[in-house]
Amino acid sequence: MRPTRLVYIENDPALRKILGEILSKSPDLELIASFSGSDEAMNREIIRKADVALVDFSLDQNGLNGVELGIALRNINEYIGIVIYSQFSVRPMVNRVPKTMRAGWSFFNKSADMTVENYAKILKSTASGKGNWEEFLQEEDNSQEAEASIFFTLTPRQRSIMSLSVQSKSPQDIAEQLGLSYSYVRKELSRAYAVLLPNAKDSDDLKTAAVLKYMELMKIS
Amino acid sequence: MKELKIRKLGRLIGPYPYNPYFIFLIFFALFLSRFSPVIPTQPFGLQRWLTTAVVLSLSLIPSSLFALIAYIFQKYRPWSSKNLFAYICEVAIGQSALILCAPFIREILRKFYHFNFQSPLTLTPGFFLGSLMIALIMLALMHKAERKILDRLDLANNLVSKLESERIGLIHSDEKLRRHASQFLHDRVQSDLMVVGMKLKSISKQTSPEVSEIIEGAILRLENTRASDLRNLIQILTPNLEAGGLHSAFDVLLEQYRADINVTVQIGKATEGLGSQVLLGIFRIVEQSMLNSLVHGPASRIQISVNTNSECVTEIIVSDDGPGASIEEVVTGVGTAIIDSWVGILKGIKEIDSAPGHGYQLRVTFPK
Repeated sequence: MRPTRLVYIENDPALRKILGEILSKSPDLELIASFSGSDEAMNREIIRKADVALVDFSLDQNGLNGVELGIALRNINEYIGIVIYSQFSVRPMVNRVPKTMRAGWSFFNKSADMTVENYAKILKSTASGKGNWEEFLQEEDNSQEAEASIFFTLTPRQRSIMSLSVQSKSPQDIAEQLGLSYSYVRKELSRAYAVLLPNAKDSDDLKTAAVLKYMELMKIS
Repeated sequence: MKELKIRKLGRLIGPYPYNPYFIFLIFFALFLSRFSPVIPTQPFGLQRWLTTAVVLSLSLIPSSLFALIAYIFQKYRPWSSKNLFAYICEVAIGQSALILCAPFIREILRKFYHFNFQSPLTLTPGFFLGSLMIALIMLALMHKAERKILDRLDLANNLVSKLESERIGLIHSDEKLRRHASQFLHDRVQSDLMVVGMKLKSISKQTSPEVSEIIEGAILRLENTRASDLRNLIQILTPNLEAGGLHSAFDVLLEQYRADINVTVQIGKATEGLGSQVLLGIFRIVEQSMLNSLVHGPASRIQISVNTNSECVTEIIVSDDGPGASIEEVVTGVGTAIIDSWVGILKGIKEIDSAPGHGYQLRVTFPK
């Protein structure tokens, strides 16, 4: 079985040299080229021959980043595996890759502790169309957050008016206590009801429902 | 807002006396006072109505004409209106031309319309010169006072813009310095630590187990410094918004405060399309607002929300449950100055709301 053909793109010359030497020693890998930046790496002839590219995320300040370069390499060779490594946390980078293109992408944080076998394993599996991006996708369950957000969407002024409303005070009493005008309190109350009860109907008892909702939010917060 | 009102008022009344509305009113009143005495002399009925219509037309037409001339003159004047001497000469010539026209108008009225009326004021050269002098002195004083106010207003506006641009310049220099420092830490220090670690790793394979163990321990320490301490320091200096967007940048920021405060973050999907400079602005506004909540609060919960709506207007809300204060008592400091500068850079609007016992809320909105 032939070794996996690798292209290595890293802007730091010292790291490129030492890691390039380490990778060359692996019997499972064949380092066919190493580049210092995105412009150099856009060599169609070499990219078409490669099975996988190991790309540093932070390349030129004014050029493409690793993910953008990976996408550009995929446009040249649609079967090339892309492995992104970085000093930054790679977790959020996954979202930067278009969903339709995520097969054959891997991400890992740079580490001096990794052996050549570790590199070879990741590179070979990515070249075969697998990848580890699923490990980094965060589950999105924000139901508790969404509840808390209603409380904080109310302005402090609305919160102060609602907290007096919870004590069964009339808008007139609230206005007197806070030194505000009656019409202002009425307006703020109706705004607060709209935030607290976004799906309320005209027939609902808005005041009671809003007070109950506010008390519930006070417990959460 | 106040400045805008003054500007609007200035446009309406000035520059005196070339404002077309003003010219129209003055001349209309002048002609009407000259010609109106003829109306009561006419018999009741149609003739009196007809005379009124003719008098109104005779007042309206030249007044409109003078207003038009004033408009054209004001717009295309070849010399500066700030020159008081030129200005007085203009007014004097204008007034003289008007007085010179008066006998012709009276003659036309008498000849064609048989209006032989006596003006309530008899025009004599002495009366004309005296009234002209008084009018000119008054105009000169008004002109000078108006110029003085407008000049001071311009000066104040220039100072405000200069201060604003200097503050924005400071923000940009600060960001540049932070970028250089974090770039150096990332490109040189982190990279070199990794290279050293890799070299040590290759050496450790060729040494005795005891030495290898010591080297492994050293690599572990180096890796901790590189991958944890330095990475966080770099992110605090300049968030890498390009790599992970706002979510990741906020995660690193909040990491420092999680022990003291409960922070929830809600970021809308549409914010992903914002440019890196805008994202940096959002990050800095939130960062400073959070620091304010912690220092001036202290709050126990903070909620951060960033959303971009379908009209491409982005809204940042940082809301806390701290002790709050009445709006008049909210103190401002360096953090607020940084927020204001970023709001200026993003061409946004800042609103704050606070009530005693019910927290503090910052709301910033800005267009794309």
